[in-house]
Amino acid sequence: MRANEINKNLKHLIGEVLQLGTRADALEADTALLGNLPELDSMAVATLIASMEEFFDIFIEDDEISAETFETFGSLCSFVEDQLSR
Amino acid sequence: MFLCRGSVIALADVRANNMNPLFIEGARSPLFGVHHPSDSISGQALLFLPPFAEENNRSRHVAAALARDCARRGIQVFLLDPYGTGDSGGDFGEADWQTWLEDGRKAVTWLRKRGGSRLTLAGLRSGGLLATRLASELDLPPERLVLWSPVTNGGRFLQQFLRLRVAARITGGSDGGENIDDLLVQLSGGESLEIGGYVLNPDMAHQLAENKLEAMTPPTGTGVLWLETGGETSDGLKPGSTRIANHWRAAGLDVTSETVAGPSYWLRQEPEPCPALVESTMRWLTQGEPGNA
Repeated sequence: MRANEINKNLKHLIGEVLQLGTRADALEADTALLGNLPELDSMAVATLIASMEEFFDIFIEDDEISAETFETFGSLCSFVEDQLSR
Repeated sequence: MFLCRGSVIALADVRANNMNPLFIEGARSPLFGVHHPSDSISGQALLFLPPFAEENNRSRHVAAALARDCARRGIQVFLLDPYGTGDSGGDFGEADWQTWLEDGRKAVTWLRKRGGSRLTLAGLRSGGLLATRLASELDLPPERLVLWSPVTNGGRFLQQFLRLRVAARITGGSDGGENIDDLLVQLSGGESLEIGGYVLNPDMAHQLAENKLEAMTPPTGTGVLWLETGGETSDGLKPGSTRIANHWRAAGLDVTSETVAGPSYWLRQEPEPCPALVESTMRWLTQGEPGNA
């Protein structure tokens, strides 16, 4: 999956899980996620991880993911690109 | 009003929609379900298997919408609460996958005895995994299988459920607390775990993890409809789902697949309708029937 497709699909997943509606369209690489989006509490993070696993057909282990992964939209995109390149 | 443990069914709704809340014999206890009868003589019947834990509560309205449309179009529907779920007997913490499979078999028998000679098995999320497994194991295969956003990998799904309990740890909220591996160790040691208000027993966890859609092939004669929801309607499914659907096609199965525009309704705290999903399902279920395109 190309980077722009990952980008587009992740925007949709984040928008879906957090119910951001059109706000998800405005996500850019440097948009802060964790600590910035009030909807992104720990339960939402767990749900988002599950949605990512389901959509991209990947397995995300405990030790592969941390607060840094969710720092920005860009860091999350990079994480998914990395997972898919394996 | 029927006032039960988990659900409230208004008598007015029952009368208006011709739905019958009732109990059938299950594998280990009586099982609650809602029957939507149809006065058609076509023999068409649909058994709906629900998703796991809280997803079931959140998605009931969509299953009910399907049931109402089906009954109007000559397909009787049974919305089953498997053992330990909804208003059925048993506790969730005592339930396991094998019991749910057997409950499914009992419900199939019940429908067939009520003129349901042309059976559709339908399931949402992990209910789709259960429906596929059941379809593969029934002595008399179902005519059709409807999968709504099916869980494709039971092991991964189990981890996602366990992750709900250690969610705070991921974002650094509680350093040094238990992680998913710790929970798996506890389960394999015979300990049940409480997760988000639900008790997960080791048998359920183990059996759930053993089920993968790609290791199952529905019977060749069973027509399959695989629907997912997304931002826009498209011919495609999620990448992992496409792989499995194509694998089934290569094995000779007739698989119709589509993504419809709609929310992940099983996640929503407030009921969010998904009309495109129900419409697409109804189109497929009634194709080739007299009076339809």
